[in-house]
Amino acid sequence: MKRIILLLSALGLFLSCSSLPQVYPAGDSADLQTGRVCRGPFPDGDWQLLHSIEATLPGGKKGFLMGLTVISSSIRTARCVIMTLEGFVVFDALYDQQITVKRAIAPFDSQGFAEGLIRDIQLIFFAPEGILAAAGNDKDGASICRYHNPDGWIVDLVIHRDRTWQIRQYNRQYRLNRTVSAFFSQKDPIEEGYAIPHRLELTAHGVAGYKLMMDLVEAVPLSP
Amino acid sequence: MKKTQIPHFLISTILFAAFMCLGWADSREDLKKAAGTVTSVRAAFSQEKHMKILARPLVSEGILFFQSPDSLRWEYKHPVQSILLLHNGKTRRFFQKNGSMVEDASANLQSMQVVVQEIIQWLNGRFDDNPVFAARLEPGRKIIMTPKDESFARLIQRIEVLLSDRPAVIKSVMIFESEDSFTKLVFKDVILNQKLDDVLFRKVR
Repeated sequence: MKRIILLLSALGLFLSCSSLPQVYPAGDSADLQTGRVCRGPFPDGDWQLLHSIEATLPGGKKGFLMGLTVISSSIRTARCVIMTLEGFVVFDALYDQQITVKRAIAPFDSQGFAEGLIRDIQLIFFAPEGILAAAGNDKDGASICRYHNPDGWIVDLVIHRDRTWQIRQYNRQYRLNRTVSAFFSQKDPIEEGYAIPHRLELTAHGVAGYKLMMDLVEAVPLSP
Repeated sequence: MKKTQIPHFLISTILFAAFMCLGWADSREDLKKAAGTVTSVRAAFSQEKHMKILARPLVSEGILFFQSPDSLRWEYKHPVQSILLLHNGKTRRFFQKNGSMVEDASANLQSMQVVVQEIIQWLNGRFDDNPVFAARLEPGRKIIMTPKDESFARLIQRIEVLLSDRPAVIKSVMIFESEDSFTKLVFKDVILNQKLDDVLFRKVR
């Protein structure tokens, strides 16, 4: 049984270790690069965001928590608090170019957890770092902006015609590492300016993968 | 107490607040006496989470049912629906998901069952028997609970329970996690000793 699992894992790794999706030229590629599309659907300014989170862990176990994130996009800082629904803080960390863990209760008390969580938050809420290497359309006609990060990783920002969007992060071997998908409810004002997605789904790919389904409870703009 | 059990114990402190419909009292003996008269509780509650980083507190609302000796339904209605059920020594937790209630299978519910035994002691007004908190009764119907263990004090600094002027009813609970963070629970529409259907403690709907 173990061999079968290993084989399946190896097959999965092989299949995911493919080339990057093609970026096709688009008539408005220049607009994409200079316009708002490639700057991304990331929140401008300072925000306090509260999400209910359903976490699906390796093995399929599900857990439910509340996630409070206070972000400042201009200086790329984030405060991340995980609470039980009853309001007890089980994890509290600040990211300001480095991670400072203020409170961590098992099973949230490992350094690896803190680092992984902050990386996920950066991916979800901050515009990609690095250079915009390509812009165009994917095979389905969605706008795609490809960023090469300084560490060699690649982030594709995909904006669909219905304004929903997706972030795909690849490692140096072009293996898909994370996918973030954003969905909007009908009442979200997505036509004008930035709208906080009603739902965010983060998938961490790989054998120890997990999934976070984040439903927005409230979004409070903070004065600078 | 195992480290992994601590979050559930923290949860239980809130449950304790709801459970602990202890009486208006001037002494611990009066508390025990008033607690002995309570067979069931129904109450609405609001919960405010205050943190220094928050622009405004996080507010939740819900309703709780308690049936002596050890059945509890702790239900959040807003903004996120969830239900915690304690009945016949078993603990289950449900969250609203896409219109239906989904059981939270990941929770370490075994530790909650241990906690229930402590809550029963509180229900009986036996503060002094609590191995985790030292309690003192202060003027103004206020009970201050502080952790006996220093390591636990890093998780909860103190709990302040304010009793109502109505006998056997609790008014509010403040749980201080740190100087920057506390939770305030306020209870209202409290009904004591009403007959409750036990399906409330077995099923989410």
